[in-house]
Amino acid sequence: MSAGADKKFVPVEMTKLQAGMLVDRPLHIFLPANQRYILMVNAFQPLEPRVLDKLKHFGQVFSTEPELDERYPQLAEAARSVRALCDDPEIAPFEKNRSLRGISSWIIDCVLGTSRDDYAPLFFFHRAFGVPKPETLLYVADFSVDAYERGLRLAAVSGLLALWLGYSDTGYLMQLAETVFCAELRGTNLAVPGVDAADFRFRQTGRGDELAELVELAQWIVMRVPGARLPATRVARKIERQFRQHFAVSQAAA
Amino acid sequence: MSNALLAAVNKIKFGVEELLEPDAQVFFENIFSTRHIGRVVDFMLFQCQPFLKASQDPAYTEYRFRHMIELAIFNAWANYRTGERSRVVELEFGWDKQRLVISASHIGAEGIGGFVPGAEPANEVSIRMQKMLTQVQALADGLIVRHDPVSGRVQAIAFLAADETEKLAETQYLDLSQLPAVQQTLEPDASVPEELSNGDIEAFMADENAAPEAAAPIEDDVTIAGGGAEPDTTETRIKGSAPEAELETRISGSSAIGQDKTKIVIGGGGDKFGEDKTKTVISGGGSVGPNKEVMQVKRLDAGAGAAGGSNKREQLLMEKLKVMSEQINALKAEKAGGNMTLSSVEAAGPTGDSGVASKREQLLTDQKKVMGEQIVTLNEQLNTLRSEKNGLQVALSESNRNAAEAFSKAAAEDDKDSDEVVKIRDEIEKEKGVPEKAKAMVQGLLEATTKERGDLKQRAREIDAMLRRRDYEYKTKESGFVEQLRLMEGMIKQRESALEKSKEAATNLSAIIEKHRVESSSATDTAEMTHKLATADKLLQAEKENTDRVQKRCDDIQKKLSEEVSARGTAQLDSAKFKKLADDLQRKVNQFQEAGQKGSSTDLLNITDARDKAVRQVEQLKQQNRELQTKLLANAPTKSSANSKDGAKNSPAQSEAELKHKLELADKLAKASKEELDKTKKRFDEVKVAENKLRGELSKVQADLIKAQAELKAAGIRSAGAAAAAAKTTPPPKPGTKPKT
Repeated sequence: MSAGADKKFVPVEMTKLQAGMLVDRPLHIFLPANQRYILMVNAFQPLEPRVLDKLKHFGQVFSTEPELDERYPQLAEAARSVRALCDDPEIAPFEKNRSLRGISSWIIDCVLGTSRDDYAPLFFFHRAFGVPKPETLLYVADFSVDAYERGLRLAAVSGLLALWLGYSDTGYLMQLAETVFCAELRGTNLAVPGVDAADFRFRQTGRGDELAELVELAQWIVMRVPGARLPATRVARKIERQFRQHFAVSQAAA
Repeated sequence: MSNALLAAVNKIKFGVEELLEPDAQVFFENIFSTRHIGRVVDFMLFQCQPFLKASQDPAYTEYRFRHMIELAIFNAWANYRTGERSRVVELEFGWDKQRLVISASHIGAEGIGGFVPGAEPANEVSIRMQKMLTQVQALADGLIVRHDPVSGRVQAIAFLAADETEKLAETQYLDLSQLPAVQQTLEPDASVPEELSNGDIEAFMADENAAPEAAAPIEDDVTIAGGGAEPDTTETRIKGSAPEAELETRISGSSAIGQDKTKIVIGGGGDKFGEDKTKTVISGGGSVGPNKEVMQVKRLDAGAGAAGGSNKREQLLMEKLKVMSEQINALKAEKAGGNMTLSSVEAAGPTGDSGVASKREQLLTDQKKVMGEQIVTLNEQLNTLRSEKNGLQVALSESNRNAAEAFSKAAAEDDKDSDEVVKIRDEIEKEKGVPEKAKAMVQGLLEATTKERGDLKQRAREIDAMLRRRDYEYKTKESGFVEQLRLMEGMIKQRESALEKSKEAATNLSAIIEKHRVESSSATDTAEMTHKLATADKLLQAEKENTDRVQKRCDDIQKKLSEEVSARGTAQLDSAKFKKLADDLQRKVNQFQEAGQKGSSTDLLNITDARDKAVRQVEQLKQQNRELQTKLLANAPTKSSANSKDGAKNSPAQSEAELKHKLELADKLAKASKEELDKTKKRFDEVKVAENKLRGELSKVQADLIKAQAELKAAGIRSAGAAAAAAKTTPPPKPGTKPKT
């Protein structure tokens, strides 16, 4: 219960709010009669249409956090460049991978390093590839809050790891992220809106599938204690090799 | 060595680095399109130049490598499982001093089997794969195919060996489904460089020259232990506790208000006002320890702020304490009502009173009853919460502002409640006179109550989740139906508008038809048509008469011409005869003159008489010839007059043109009325038939005329030329032209 005495509320542009979007900062409304700020939507949650209607009804929206682009000035450009590279059919895979690692190297520390940050990888991947789609977000959030939050982070980290491992195809990455995001709904046999066909090529965890290992490593990263070191899986070693090659080339070029 | 290779390959998890020395160079590439295969192969060749140069024949080794890798890639690409949204061929290649190894993995097509060289292929895809792998085997020093029929993954591993003894004579096939599945190894303190793990790239690269510890083969016999690290217990919450249930109830904000007055939840967010940075969640696992099935993660909205863990813990404890204090309070109230306390029972215990045991049992029975009542009450509370939830949702939909104010009021009550909780806690803490056994019993009962309550909450939560799902499905279906309805309405509107338009068009048409009917049925039009028809009949009759007249005249002319021709022929013959006689006479005269000059005067007289006689005869013949010519000249004016009479055809032609124009107009009118005027049509048809008849007759007449002209020409009479000229002035109608009416 805060009247906003110890927090600084900044106004949020209503035009940037869209139904189904992934909210990147908590959104509040202000009650003049009570002189209170009421939390309407938390960060990482999908903005439901009815909540958006409420926000529009109040006219003004506030947040305690600055805009995402202010926190991560390179995020927007990096996401755009990564998407452009993945979509470019002219570039050979090894050239593409080198560029992708260069563009996304600033996010390594947020994912693999000690400064664990949920915002950067999640919003980076979501902005770059637009998955999960708004309808999928809303559906899974309605189904289970826990599955939603776990799946969101897991999908983003899995996607980033796959990107660093050289899976630099837009369609492939999107399908992977969507499948990981909806993995917990598999047992329900429900058709998930916004997901055409799930790709379970990597579900054979115990059969040596690389993507299965990758998702498992992403799971470990998501659930680990901050500061814990990476495990020595084959996938982790591959990532290490990829970055070693990438930075060796960069250093040689420098 | 071959056995060692096979042993290294014969495991579920495998990478080419396991066939190489620890300091080997290993590269990974994924190919999503065949477009860049050439460049990728060039890149690989560039990378493995040291190995190629060290070989005995670098050019041949390069040739083998290039073709080997290309065939392996094409084999993987062409025989990929169908139906996948995207294909990927995973390439690995590396080398050391001993060997250069390449590996191409893909998901094989359905139903493949026996595709290695020498085996019996199961289908066409297998035959294709076998051909390609045979070529790879021919180029490589060894080929190992790993196939997992369960997942469909096929991995072709080919190598070039520096040592002749390492060569594999035959392709080795490994069926991975025969191997037991293993769990993934995740050792938290393993040997991935700390610098990379910490995100310190500079330090990571500074350590580049150090021997990579990660090159050691991965053990497959260690189970994932969730990282092995203890989860942050300050960020977790035990399953079944009341606050967790409240946290997980995302939409039913009213229940949270009802249960925990320290929070305000706005419907739709599941968010607690003022607590957005401190919430934690545990899902499903039921234990604090790491769980592979379900992760225990810090709630996302905790953001980067990991600080404040102690506050969270305090808050959790406070919430638990509050629940316990509520339960104890309820028990205290019951105790006061029954005039029998557990403490008094406990106090009576040591005295050895015989009625104590029965009283204790009675008390326990009472307690059980009370617990049952509490459960019932809790159920009622749950129902109340649901009704409150619905009411709150309705209230929210009615007025956000009112709801928010209600929330703020509730928040104010929360503060009061928290004070009460503190008071109750203090009271309980001060109550030191309660015996330990009674406390333990109460504690046990409370725990049982809490457990049952937790179960109930769990059920309620499940029901709530089910309700939400149903609600979502209902909404989805409803929206689908609404959409369908909207589409149907749109279609109906479109059809209605189309119907209206067609009705309007029909009305217009009927009006036009009616108009035409009225016009056509009017007397004037009928009279006009009758008049036109009569005029046409008259004109046709006149034309027919003219044609007859012309025909008759032509016959007369032909007759006269033939007579004249015969007369002329006779005259020509006569004149020729007379000319001959005249010539003879002239010759005789000349002879007589010559003889007269020599002969007697009597002879001269005789000759002179004969000459005079002949001259007279010549004069008579000349006279006759002149008469004939006069007669011929007298016939010429009659021909020219006949020609002038032929020219009279022009006037009927003009009238015909006018009639044609009028008929065309009539035709247009008839077309405009769209043949709805049956009578007019019938008449028109009759007129048409009559026209056709007339046209036929006219054409016959014209043909006869042309024939007569041709005969005249054939006769070679000059008058025929005049007749032809007359015919040219009135050209006959061409066959096929529109009949003139």
